[in-house]
Amino acid sequence: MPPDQKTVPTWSTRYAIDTGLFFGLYLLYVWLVIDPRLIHHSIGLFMPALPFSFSTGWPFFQEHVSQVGGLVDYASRWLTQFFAIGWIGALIVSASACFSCIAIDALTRIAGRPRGTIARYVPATLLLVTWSRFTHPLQSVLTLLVALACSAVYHLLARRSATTAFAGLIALFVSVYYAAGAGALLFPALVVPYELLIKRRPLLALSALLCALAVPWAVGMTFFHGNFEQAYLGFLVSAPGVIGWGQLCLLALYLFFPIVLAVAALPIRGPAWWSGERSLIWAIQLAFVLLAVGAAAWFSLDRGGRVVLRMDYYAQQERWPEVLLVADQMPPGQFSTRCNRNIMLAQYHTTRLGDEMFRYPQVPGIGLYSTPSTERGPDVYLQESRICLVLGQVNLAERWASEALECNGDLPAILRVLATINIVKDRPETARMFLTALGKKPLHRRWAAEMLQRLDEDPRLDSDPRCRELSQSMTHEDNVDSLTPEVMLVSLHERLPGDRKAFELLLAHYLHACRPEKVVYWLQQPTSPQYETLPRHFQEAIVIYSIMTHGCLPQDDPRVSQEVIDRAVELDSILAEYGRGDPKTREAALAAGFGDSFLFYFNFRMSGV
Amino acid sequence: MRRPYWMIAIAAAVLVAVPAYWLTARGSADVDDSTPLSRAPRITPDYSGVVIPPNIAPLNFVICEQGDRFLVKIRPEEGNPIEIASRSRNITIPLKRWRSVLEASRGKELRLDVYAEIDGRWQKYQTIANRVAQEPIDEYLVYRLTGSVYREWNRISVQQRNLTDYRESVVLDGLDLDHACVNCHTFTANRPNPMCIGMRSEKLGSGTIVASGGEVKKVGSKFGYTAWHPSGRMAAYSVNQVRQFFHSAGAEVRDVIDLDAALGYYTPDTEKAKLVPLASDKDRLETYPTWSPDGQYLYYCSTPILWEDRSTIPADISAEIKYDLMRIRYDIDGDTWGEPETVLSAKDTGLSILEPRISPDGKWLLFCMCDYGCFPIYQPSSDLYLMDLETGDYRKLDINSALSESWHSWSSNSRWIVFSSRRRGGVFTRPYISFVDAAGTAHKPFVLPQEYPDHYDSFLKSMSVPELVTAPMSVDAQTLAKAGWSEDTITADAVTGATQVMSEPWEQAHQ
Repeated sequence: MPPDQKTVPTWSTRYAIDTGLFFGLYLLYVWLVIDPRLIHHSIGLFMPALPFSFSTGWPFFQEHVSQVGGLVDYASRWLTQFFAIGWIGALIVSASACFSCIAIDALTRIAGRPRGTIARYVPATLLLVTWSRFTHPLQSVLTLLVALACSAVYHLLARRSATTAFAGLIALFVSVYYAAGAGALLFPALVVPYELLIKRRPLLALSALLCALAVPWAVGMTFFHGNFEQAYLGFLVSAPGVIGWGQLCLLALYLFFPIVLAVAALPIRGPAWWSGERSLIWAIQLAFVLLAVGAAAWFSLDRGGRVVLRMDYYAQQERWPEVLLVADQMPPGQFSTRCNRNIMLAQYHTTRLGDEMFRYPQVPGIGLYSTPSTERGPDVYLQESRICLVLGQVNLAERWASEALECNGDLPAILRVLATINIVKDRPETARMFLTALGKKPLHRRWAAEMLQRLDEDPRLDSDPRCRELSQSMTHEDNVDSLTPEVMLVSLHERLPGDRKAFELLLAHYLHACRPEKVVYWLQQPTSPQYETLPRHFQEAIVIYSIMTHGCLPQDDPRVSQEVIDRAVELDSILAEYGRGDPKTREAALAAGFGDSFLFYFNFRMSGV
Repeated sequence: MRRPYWMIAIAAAVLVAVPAYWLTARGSADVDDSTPLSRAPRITPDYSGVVIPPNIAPLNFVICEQGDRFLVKIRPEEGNPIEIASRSRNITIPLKRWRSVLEASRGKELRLDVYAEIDGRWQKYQTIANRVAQEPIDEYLVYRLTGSVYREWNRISVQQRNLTDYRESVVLDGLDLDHACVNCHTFTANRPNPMCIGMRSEKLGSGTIVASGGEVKKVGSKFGYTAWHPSGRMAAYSVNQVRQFFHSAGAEVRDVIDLDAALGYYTPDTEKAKLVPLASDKDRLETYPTWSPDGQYLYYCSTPILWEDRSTIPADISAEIKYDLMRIRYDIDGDTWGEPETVLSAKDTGLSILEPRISPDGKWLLFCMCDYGCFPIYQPSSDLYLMDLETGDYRKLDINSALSESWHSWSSNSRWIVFSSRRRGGVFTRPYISFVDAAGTAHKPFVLPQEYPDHYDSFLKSMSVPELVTAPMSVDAQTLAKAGWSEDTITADAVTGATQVMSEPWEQAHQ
């Protein structure tokens, strides 16, 4: 029964509706939920940074032109830069998904089948799942798209004679292999079913197979001196930015296209009612697609990783209040040394250490200044460098930033830190090198140019508040022994007497180490800043110190509020009721809301629970 | 129907050609009535007032002056000048014409005129006068390419650069040895064979790859600083126990001392290693061996171990670690060693004497002196000194900068030296070339020229330990790497109670 023209949308209207709706939602999801900025930020944290490093200029381009797959690699690196802008990154992801969808349409059309409503969205869904894990398969995706585009060109040529098709096959495969590398093997993989099942030219199908064997050997191994793995296996061995089961998704993605073509070319027909010509069936199919893709997106999203990345992203941007907001959304068990450091830094910059440091998990022995060996990796160096800058240990900061540069390559954030360090160390010429390198990063060119101009005018950048602050806090005392955190913090406080942030960092160290006597000692020093109201944790330290040394509460100490004294009394009664070693004591104290206090941390060596 | 394709092709050609023309067009650079300026142009790298080899690659440079267009004339005393007009400040000199101009200018002056057009008016800067030496430089420079390594490294390689052009190839890439550290490349009298390179990798262990004659073998222990006997029949090397440490303040963060060191030697024919008897004293540190060109003396650096606890860094490093320059006679036929002699004492100089290298004609000894220690590249105070071996007189060279100079090498004709310098910024090491005339005067050095004039402006790697060699490597990178992977290693264990560990400056930290 023909569809009712007045009530049923035409094919092209349906096409526009389902494609528009799908990719509209897709774009919004990628932009607002996955957030390509986080994918960009995860480079150097969750995935190696070197495969995504990009510089403008001919030498960098020439380096890529001279290798198999270099052109797609170059394009991938260039496009990756724009993931730092959320909506552009979302556009890139959505556009690549959309092209994969169009490719499926084209393949089914070549096979003489109508456009489907479900199969066409499978590649886009696989891509969404991969990106939801905060991996970055852009290079593999671009390779796929280039191979698909090449197949489209071949289809145009193949309509003429077999000779033209053969010549086109050779020329196109050599070109696409040079441009995209081993992933371009998808092209002959598409030619084989096309020639065998659709055009019925088995010799051409055989030629495609032989090409798939010969061209990687000739071009990849002989001409460009690659090894077997690089020449034939490509992303199957190592796809930059893709780890774990993301590689399986990619493999499924690559296999999907030749399978669709082969299946579509087979003389098998499904039930007529399923063809989607009826509005209801079409609507059901569309609803199914949206639900299935929504479910896939929902279940594949790495929520914990997202929170960690958001926090780290804001910390790198020095948006400290946002760091603390995200910290509150952190799922239990997700805290790591890296997260804790970001929170501590945020509290330091917002002067909340004295009031809130025990709102978050603190682990004795693992603090701001030491990383457990299990968590040590290339990603920690830049963070350690930033912490050292806070402490005025500029040489140490230089060391860690240099380690980061060596391990992670020329990430813009690393170049910025190193440029700043060299400015502060009065080495404008080296700072200039880092800034010139930074100027070759597309989104950092303006900032680098401005800094270079300012350096020309003022080589020490004394006018810059950040550089001035670092110069003031920088240590000039050469010490070749390993510096303990305490020595560094005391030294910082001595260089910046009266500075509240430096002082609270020192006291936070003592709180973390359960040394209330040190807190009390430093609060009595004339170099301590003047407080109208002493931060809560410092008050708690005074209380504990008083109980420990005098056996009584500091009732007459005007620095300690009655509320803190009352809370100390309450905890003391809980301790007395259950006994210090009884697990019920801790539970009772937590139930009474002590989990975010130094009183609790001092007694139970844990916090933020 | 074909017309649109032609139109697209023409449009594409125009799109390419117009910017290309705009960037490279010579235009009508009528500079005859240009206004003369009273100063020389600022160019980077600084290729002004230098003596250059007649076979060096074009000295491409960047003009650091304002201008809408630029014209550069490279004028030999005789013959046609090279004229380069450019809208870009980056001046790239055509290789063929440069070669012919250099050849015609041997022993003569080569002038450089720079013009800049501002608002339609041409200005002419003062002429830069360089000189082309008669004597060529050895054609190849082998150096170590590395990042700013503290504890971690991603890629360390030994590279081979053709100095007559910009071609560069890998001698040995650490990536081919499972991210190994490759270092201490050493050659025999500026020849590429025999040679050796040290390697260290977590997976493959430490070793030395020795290429001698047609053979490439791996020695199962890593040589430190190595010097091949001029005959190529043996190589002297140091065995060092290195400790790295860090300064919390000051220009240079990294520092290094040897906690123990001694000299040994390896004979490829017998595949045996031995200690140099009187240069492996348990109470002294001996390092940096180098041979006199006649092979009769081994020069080296040595200092007594004055501090008590030899497993730790001494409290006052700058007072306690200053090396003397020593030498010891050797008879290669009898394999006999003489008594050590002090050539120059740290007591007399007040400085630590390091990295001696003797010119192939045997006349000059080039060495470093710095405030203290054994690793001059980390010492901003390190400068180059030249000693006349006939008289024993020495002097500080004028080519030094305020920052570290070290790792120097002579050309086979004793007229050129190349050395590592951190003069540009203090962090990244670059190779500088200087002409040393017959009187021992070293002329203003210039940095190794690069194809891209602004190459060094953003190059975040160090090029250190430059060694001049007369020919390209006789063994390719794959063969050397294959030897590195080989389990068939020569056991040449020169271990003694005095010296058990050889490590790189950063190895302690890496462990």
